[in-house]
Amino acid sequence: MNDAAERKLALSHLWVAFIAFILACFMGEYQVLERSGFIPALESSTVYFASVSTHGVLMAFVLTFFFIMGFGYYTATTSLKVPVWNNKLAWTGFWISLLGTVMAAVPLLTGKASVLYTFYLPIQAHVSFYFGATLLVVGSWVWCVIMLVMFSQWKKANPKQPVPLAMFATAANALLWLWTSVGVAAEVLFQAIPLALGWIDSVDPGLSRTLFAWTLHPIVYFWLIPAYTAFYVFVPKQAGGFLFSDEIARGAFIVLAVFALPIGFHHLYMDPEQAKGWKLLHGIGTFVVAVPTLVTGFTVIASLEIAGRLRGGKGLFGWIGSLPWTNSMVLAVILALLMLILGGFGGIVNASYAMNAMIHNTAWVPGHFHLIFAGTTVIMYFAIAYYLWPLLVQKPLFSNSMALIQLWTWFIGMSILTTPWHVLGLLGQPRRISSVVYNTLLTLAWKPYELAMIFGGLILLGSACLFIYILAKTQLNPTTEEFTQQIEYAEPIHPVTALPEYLNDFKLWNRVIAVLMAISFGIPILQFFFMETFGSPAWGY
Amino acid sequence: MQIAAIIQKCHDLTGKCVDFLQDFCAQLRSVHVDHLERKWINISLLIIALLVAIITIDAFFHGVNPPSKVETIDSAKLHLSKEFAENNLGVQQDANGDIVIRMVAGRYSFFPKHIAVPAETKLTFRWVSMDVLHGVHIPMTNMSTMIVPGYVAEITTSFPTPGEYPVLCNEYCGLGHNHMWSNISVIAKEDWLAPSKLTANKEIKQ
Amino acid sequence: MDEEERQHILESSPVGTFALLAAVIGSMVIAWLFLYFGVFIPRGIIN
Repeated sequence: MNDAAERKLALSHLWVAFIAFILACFMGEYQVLERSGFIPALESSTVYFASVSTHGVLMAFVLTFFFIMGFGYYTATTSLKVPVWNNKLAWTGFWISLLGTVMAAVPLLTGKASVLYTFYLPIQAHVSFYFGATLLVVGSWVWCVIMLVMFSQWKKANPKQPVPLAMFATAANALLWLWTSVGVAAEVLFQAIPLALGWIDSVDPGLSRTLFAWTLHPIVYFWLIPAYTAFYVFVPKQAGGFLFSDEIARGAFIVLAVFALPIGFHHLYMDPEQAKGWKLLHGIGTFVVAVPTLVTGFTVIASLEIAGRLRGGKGLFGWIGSLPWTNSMVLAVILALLMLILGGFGGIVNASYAMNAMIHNTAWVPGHFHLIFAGTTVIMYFAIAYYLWPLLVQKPLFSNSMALIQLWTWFIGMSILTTPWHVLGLLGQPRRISSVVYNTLLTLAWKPYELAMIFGGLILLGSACLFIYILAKTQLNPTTEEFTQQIEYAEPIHPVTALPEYLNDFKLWNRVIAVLMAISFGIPILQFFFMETFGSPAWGY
Repeated sequence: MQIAAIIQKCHDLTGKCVDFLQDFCAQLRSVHVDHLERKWINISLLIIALLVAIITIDAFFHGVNPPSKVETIDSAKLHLSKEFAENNLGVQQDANGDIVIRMVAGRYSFFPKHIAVPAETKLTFRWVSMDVLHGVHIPMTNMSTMIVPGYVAEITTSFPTPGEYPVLCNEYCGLGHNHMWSNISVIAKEDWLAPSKLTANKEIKQ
Repeated sequence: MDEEERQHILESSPVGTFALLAAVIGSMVIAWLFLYFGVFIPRGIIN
């Protein structure tokens, strides 16, 4: 099948994602330097908070959405072996999202939207920031629709056949994102924009935080599922083996999609606008969603074990050494899993209801999400990029050894950056501060960790630049040699010929999600309309 | 008749649900799962259940909960409210001997700027915001809460160790966020003196 | 590696994985208990 159109679609999305990424990396290093106070000339809360807001939006929304969409289009077309449904619509979605990004970037970069990537009301940004964010999300909805249409069309054309695992995971992610984005969409459309335009005088910040919390947890699974997809559909074959269990993989994606949603209140544990019963309920749900990750860990590592043993590894752990560590996908998954252990542990601490008080809004929180997102998830985005780039540009990867160096340095830099960050949290440093000016002895204990973080950030910045360099050199290679490599999806040890319908479709799970969301968010949101609340007007910063 | 028809419908519906669940379980059982993976799933579920049990038991029987009293207040009219009028802020001991501390958060400090409380004693803090979203925590303690305009954030805790602690804002509230802090002295239980009603609003001098 | 050995590996249960993850989750439980009962609760019970 001539997939030139799909390759162009995927590449365009991926380049937007990675350009946003590298710009944001420079901002990140500036931030850690500025905050440490070691270079007084840099000190500026205006520039700092504009940087944090831009860095957050670029990393959390632009890098992710565009990567996920590009990866999704290429996965859909290659796993289902059909062209992307409605190519025109796909490009429309791309341009809508890109327009939204630029529209939000202007106020962000000019300091008119220093409201951080979480834009908590009643602090207000310039209205074009909210319009831009809205368009970015609307474009992503176009992608969701196309993914789900392709999913159902294939099912109709291939009745009773198991949907290829890569597409099943992508469709799960699309469904998840549609449900997830409702919260922030409601907040922006009914509160932030009307307030910014002066159509309403005040908003209830309790309601806005609740709506944002709807989105805030499942969005991280929207980011993570592509990484897990690569774990299941690329890694086993790259390691020289097979996927340990295709059915377990589907089960994991289903439980992730279902239980990522009704648990947002673990971001509101310290908030006064929700009662403890709801918080405890969401907390229990949060522990449940840890299970598919534990299962994914087992299934992926088991696949690696089989591969390692097939390559001659003996004994209880000999298979680890005999894995092809020089394959970038294999190296990436090993490093990703190491970061997932500590990042996941941090997540469990955060989820532990009242214990959240120990670390809430301290430096532990950004330490945690950099480790789990910038670490585990983004290192897999790199690995996917290294795997797909040759296929997309039809040229060999510029340098495999450089890719390995880049992955190692990302891991090392991330470890040096996030470990002190977690400690700073336990030592009481708040988050979102642009400098340390508290006249208290406690802050002296913080200094050595700040210094370590600057070095971690520098290593990461170098690694990020190397990543872009490798992709650019690959694409700019003037070679005209024919390129015949095809994408290779992993095969399961036991081929799947028949599947229970519940592992091959989302109709049932969609209903389960609806019921769980009604239970978890119904009354907590409705309460705001039945009790006497006092709104807040818009505030500047 | 009407009732008989309804009972019949319920009966049918229950039957359908049971059939559905049985079919669902049968289909899932047909999936082959390696015995070690099955063991792992069980271990994971057990450990999750253990941690949830510890948290839930502590919540129900030892009162270990995050601050969750849903109470609204008009943040724009604090100075007109009885409770958070300026001369009612700070540390007070009521007739029962319970200590309540009323604090206002506003750009960029916490008011009163310096308070003194006894160690190892149950303290109830009531925080309100006069403007935007704030968060507050006292390092090395569990005094941590969001302060959402429109709501009173009430949290009860005790401080184990006497000393001088900073009270820090931990949620972005504007360009001066990193300057937003105040002080709290935690005084050994036997040395702390309850402020009289008249001096409740004065700064406690060392 | 002959076909019989290959088949044996493909049919085997992942003992190394199990051992590794059992150790990991065991450490996590110990670390969690340490943080919960050793750091969080001593800092003062909240409600």
